[in-house]
Amino acid sequence: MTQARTLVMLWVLAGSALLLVVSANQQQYERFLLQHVHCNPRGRDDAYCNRQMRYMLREDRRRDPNPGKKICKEINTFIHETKDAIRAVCQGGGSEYVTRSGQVMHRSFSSFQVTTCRFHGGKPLENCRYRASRDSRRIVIACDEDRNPVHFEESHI
Amino acid sequence: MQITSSGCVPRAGSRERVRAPGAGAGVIRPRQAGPARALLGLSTREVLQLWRVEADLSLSREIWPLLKSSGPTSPFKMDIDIECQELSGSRWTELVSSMKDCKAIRLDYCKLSRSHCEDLCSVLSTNQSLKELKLDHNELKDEGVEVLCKGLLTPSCNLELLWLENCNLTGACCESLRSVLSAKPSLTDLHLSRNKLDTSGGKVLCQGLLDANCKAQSLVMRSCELRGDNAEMLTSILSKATLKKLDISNNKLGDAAIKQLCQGLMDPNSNLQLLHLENCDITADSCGDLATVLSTKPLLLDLAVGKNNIGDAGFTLLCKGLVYPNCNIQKLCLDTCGMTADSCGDLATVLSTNPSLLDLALDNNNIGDVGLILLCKGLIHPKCNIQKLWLWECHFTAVACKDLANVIGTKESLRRISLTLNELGDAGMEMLCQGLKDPKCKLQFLSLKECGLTSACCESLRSVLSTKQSLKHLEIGSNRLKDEGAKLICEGLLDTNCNLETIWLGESELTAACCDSLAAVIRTKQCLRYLGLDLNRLENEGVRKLCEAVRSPNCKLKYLMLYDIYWSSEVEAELRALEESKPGLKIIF
Repeated sequence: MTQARTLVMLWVLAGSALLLVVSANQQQYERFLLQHVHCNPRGRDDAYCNRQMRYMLREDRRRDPNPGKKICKEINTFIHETKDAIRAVCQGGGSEYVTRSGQVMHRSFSSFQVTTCRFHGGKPLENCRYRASRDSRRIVIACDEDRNPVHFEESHI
Repeated sequence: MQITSSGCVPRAGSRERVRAPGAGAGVIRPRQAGPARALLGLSTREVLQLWRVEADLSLSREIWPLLKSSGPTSPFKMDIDIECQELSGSRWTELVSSMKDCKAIRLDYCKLSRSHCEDLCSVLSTNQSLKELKLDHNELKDEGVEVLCKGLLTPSCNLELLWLENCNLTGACCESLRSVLSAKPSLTDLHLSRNKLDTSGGKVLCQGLLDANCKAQSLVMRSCELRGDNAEMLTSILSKATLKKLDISNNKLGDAAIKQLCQGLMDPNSNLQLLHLENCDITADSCGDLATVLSTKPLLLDLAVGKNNIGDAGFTLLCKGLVYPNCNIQKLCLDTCGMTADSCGDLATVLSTNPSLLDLALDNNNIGDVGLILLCKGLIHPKCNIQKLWLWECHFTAVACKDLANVIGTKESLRRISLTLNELGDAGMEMLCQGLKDPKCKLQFLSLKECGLTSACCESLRSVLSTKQSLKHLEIGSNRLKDEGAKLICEGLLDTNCNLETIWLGESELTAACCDSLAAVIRTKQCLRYLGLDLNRLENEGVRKLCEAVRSPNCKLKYLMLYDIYWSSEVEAELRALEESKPGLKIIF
């Protein structure tokens, strides 16, 4: 009886471990989407940055089980494309390079419309003020095993 | 006992929070990882928690909400402080039952609606000790507020502070608010920002404020779509002797309205201390009237007219008022006012004649080198008592830095200065360091983001850090400091003279190579509370070194900012485990 129970426990543990990795990746991808993807921006100006950053920061806190002090994130870029178009960069739509410590980055072949929001003063959260700078450039991202973007390189090459 | 759900760090505040003896910080994890929940969809952390619950059932009680722990027999008053959580069903019912004895309730972004207001209404009519109610960012709508007002009107209700920012209210609810204002002298603090109250709503509200029974002290109605026609009513409330604070920024009022407002301010009964009129469509036309107010109202301490295109002409007029001996303005905000170097001579005169000015913000005005050099002549004057100076993006360069350095090295009152977004360059920074090293300099906060600095100025910076005991907060990221620069800065930080609590080195082109130095700082400097390293390519190697240092018992860090740094899932797990093991630490991913 106990042997069977041990076996069941082992399967449950293995399954949970797998789900652990899967759910961790999923969480990173969803965070990437929240922080860096905004398909239909309305006017990519300072007011846009204020709105979008505040929404993003608020939602980010809401998803965090233990958010801590409110902070206005210093710099953040929004990519104005569908998530599929961005995922495509992970799936052959970009050139790969490997960093010193073995991290694989993907640099897109095509240019993307982006808006970078830089913190410009104000108290977190609802008064965080930002300056917008619009750009069209190749993006550099890192992808997970499922070929979903999980990291955006703000300091692009 | 304090119930907070917005983080494990207790918030500093002037409100008294009575804690039950021996109680912990009272952290509630909003999404409880109870055994009933499926594994799918949980975050890594939640799954780990779940494991711990299953492994040791005796722990499970600590993870469930602590709402029940201070029952009706508790002798201590409670506060409720919750944000960004959906409150419904049994959770809401439990919460309401704990509101009986609260002094302060804050429920921001909790998806509250009219039905919640019914319950809050009964709380208001039974809880005599409730003083503060903050319900910002909930879709209460007019109907919700009308229900709340019923509770507010009950004889036993003694509410003092009511905040309803961004609750999707319109002018329609102002009638109910009016009746509360005219019945409740206890209500002194009202925030209604970001609700489309419109002209009509504004007028009705003002009627309530004008009532003799109303003892309102603070009124904040930013972005309420008020217009020029509200001027008359706003003017009359200014003559209310109890009113100390009025913030009507981001309403298209216009010059005619401001002129009327100034007339109201001139009323001998007016005791206003704070007036915020940012982005109110003010031009030079009303600056003469504002100047008259400044020269006659010694009680006015805080004036904000930023984001109005008053220009040099307007500013010259304002100065006429600012130089008056009767003018006691302590805080002046003039950001984005279209000022140039031409205004700076007059501003220098103000600084050298008016000893009351403590806090000056001139961000985003094109004053340039010429302007700043002129300003410095005023700043350096012995009569000038400036404590805080904000010069974000004022378009000055190294050319003005010698004079600025002189001010920094002489003005002992100067505690906080921001020079962010001015192209100082290394040459400019070197000069500033000379001033910073002066023993007379007692600077506590220094911001130098995006100033065009490189590692070349970091030796001088190191020298400053190793001598300036007063410096507590330094923001120097968004400069190409690189590993070389960071290492020098760390050397300065390690000096026993250095008492830095906060340092932001984000976006500074740092790599794993400087992480040994950073680790040494983390391990040694017990005074360091906040370290920002976001947007640097520290990679797994670098982050691991930091983790090791953070584990050291000497490390008393509260916040470690690691936004937008790419690491593997193993390192991610390591970071999360590290955060769990150090209860006072928050790692920001």
